[in-house]
Amino acid sequence: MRDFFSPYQDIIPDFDDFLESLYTLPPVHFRVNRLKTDPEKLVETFEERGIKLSAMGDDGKRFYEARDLKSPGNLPEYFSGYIHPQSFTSCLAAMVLDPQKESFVLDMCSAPGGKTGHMADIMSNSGIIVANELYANRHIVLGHTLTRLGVLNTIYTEYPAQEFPMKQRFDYILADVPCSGEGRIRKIEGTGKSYPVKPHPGKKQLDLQKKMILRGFDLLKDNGIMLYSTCTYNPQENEEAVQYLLENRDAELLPINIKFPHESGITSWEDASYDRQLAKSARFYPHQINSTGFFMARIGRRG
Amino acid sequence: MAEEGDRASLLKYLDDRFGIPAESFDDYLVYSKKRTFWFIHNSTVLSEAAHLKIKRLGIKAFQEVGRFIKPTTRIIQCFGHLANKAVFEINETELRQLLDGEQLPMDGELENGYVIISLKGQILGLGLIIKGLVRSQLPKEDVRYFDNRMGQDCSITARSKR
Repeated sequence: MRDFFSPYQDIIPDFDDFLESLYTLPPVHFRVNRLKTDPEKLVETFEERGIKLSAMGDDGKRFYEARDLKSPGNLPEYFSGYIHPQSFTSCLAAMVLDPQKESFVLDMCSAPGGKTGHMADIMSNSGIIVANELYANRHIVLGHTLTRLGVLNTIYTEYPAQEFPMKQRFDYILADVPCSGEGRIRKIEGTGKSYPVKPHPGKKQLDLQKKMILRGFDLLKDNGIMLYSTCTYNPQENEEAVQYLLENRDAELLPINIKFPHESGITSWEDASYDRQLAKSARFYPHQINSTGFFMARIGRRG
Repeated sequence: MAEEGDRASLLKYLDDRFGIPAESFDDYLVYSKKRTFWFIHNSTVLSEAAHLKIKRLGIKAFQEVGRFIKPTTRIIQCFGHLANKAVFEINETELRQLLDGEQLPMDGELENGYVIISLKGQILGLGLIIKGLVRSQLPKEDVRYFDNRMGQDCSITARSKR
């Protein structure tokens, strides 16, 4: 693990603590789906059954950690769409994008649908979300997630995200692009649960991410907002992709105002240097937020 | 878009069978393809998606099976809380019995057909009542691991039947 993550030793604070965190299982987090139930009522029901919950932050009591809950997917509340197990950092993506009611939204890489469902929750099932997913097999889990959550404001498309048609523009775009997934890597000795270390991304994947961020930006309305996100620490997939956008389009980074522990995006790594605006992006590390690693940049048109 | 007659007959079914008022669906559009119907929330921005090649939309709500129309579990989970009749309230023990394949008696004189299964107010989906006995219509793949306590393996009967 140390060897694999050593390229990030200078950018990840408290690197040893970070490494140590990778040897623990991430806690069970879930989001309460307000399209189906009232969070306070749900908490009451759980507590009556001896399931202890800890609210994550004070944002409307929507996100919970359940230490004793091993398999939330076995609960009737999961089947009924009252809860959605989701890593906490993934929950933050839709929260930061914050799509308004009655808006026109594109989720460029929608499956498995947790963030799409969260946006529908924030929008109270109003407006329209285009849930795009290229791969037919991933549409199965996408449809299952969104119908279980009672999402009724979504149309499904299956375009390559980097070639999404240009005949319409969107108020909000989530570009949660395919990535190396380094933020999800854990190695749990003796539990039978290990997350194999994947190789760092190849040029093909990096190029694809750059094409996607450009296309996402081109699909924005004048006052539109895009969130570019990954679950990796690799600056090539994060700051460098955003840098590529800044160099090729009239884009600017917008501030991310959240109370949860995070670090600013970096402005240099190895031989590369990035625009100062990249400090407005956000990096999330497991030893700080007790969830999976994550990166996000909130982007708008300049001027 | 579904024909107006089809839409009206679907909404009439929900009203007649479950007492869900047709006005509850004023903000929804109904689309159909072959013998399947989907509901989607209407929106002023829907027209902005006109140029997109749509794979599907909203939630699959009904399927015609022979002469009958069958509501889906998922649409009942969305709107079942508005029902005021044909609702079968059960507890955890009765849920387990249903999932194990037992048929349970339901009070009142209800015509054969679908009933909404509600676990202490939580809408789970549909059952089928025939001659006063209710059997589960919940999708077996989704409910076989049900655990009402802690989401852990509690050796539920349905699991042992795999």
